[in-house]
Amino acid sequence: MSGQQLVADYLSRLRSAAGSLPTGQRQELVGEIEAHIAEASGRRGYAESDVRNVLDRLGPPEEIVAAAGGGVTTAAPPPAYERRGTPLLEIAALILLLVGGLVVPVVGWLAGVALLWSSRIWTVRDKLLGTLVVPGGLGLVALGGLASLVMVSGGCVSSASLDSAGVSHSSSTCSPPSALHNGLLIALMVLMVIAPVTTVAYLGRRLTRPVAARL
Amino acid sequence: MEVVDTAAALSQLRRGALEYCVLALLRDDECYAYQIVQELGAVDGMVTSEGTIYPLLSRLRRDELVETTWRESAAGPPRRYYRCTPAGRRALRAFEPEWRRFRAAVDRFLDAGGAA
Repeated sequence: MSGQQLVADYLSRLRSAAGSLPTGQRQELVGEIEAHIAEASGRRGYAESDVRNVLDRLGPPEEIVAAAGGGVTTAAPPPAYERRGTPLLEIAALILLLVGGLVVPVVGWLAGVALLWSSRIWTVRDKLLGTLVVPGGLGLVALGGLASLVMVSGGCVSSASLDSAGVSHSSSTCSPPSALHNGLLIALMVLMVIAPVTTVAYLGRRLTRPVAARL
Repeated sequence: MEVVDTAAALSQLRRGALEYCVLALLRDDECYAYQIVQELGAVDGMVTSEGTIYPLLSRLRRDELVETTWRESAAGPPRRYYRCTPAGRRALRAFEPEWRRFRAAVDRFLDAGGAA
């Protein structure tokens, strides 16, 4: 390859490597490198050995473009993306948050919260969401469910009284719960099941986003 | 962070220091790009890839640490002459004591390690 061919080849590589740069920047860079080569070897008519030396000293076009990329030439290399193996801690946290409260009431869920907050993957916002929606997870829902079942079926009021003769009577008046009452309870129950499940699913998805390694 | 790759660590250091070396060259003088590249390249260990100096010069210009003037040249096409702006001089003035302190500190550890 003649000297001039080498130059043309190099500049074309530079042009294509610089394709990601804004047009103005790219044209300026190529122009400057072209002028540099001309100044360094043009006077001796682009003799092949001269050109090879100059191009060697210039360095690979890709490296030059990398130095121009993002306009930050003194930047540290991009953060390494830490691809963890299976995030066991996070999976355990999710399981405990959701059903820990069912297995060991309160404590099971609290263990999930502890694991949640010790994770290095989730952000604070994620963690707050996991703690507050819904506290207790499905364990709370189960409790609530039991409580409302009692309310729904046992809408009875017992009273004991002493009549004038000192005989105690107990009577209970049961009023059937209204349909609206039931309906609201069921809606609430459904919501309280959906909410923690959705939250856990969301947190699970957040695990797959790339995480900058802590240096 | 494990510093296992010396070449990468040095490359980072070089990149950080290079712009201040350029500013120092341009502090009191006016140079054109090719001159700057020549002067930097003449010092061993300063630059591995001369071409990367051009994007650096562009960035210094964008950050207004240097300014340029085109001048006619007897040797051929007009040349772009670079010189420091006041902001560039300020940046250099801030860098110098910090650099000397840092260099002394690193040398100290390297020397102490050698003596052990």
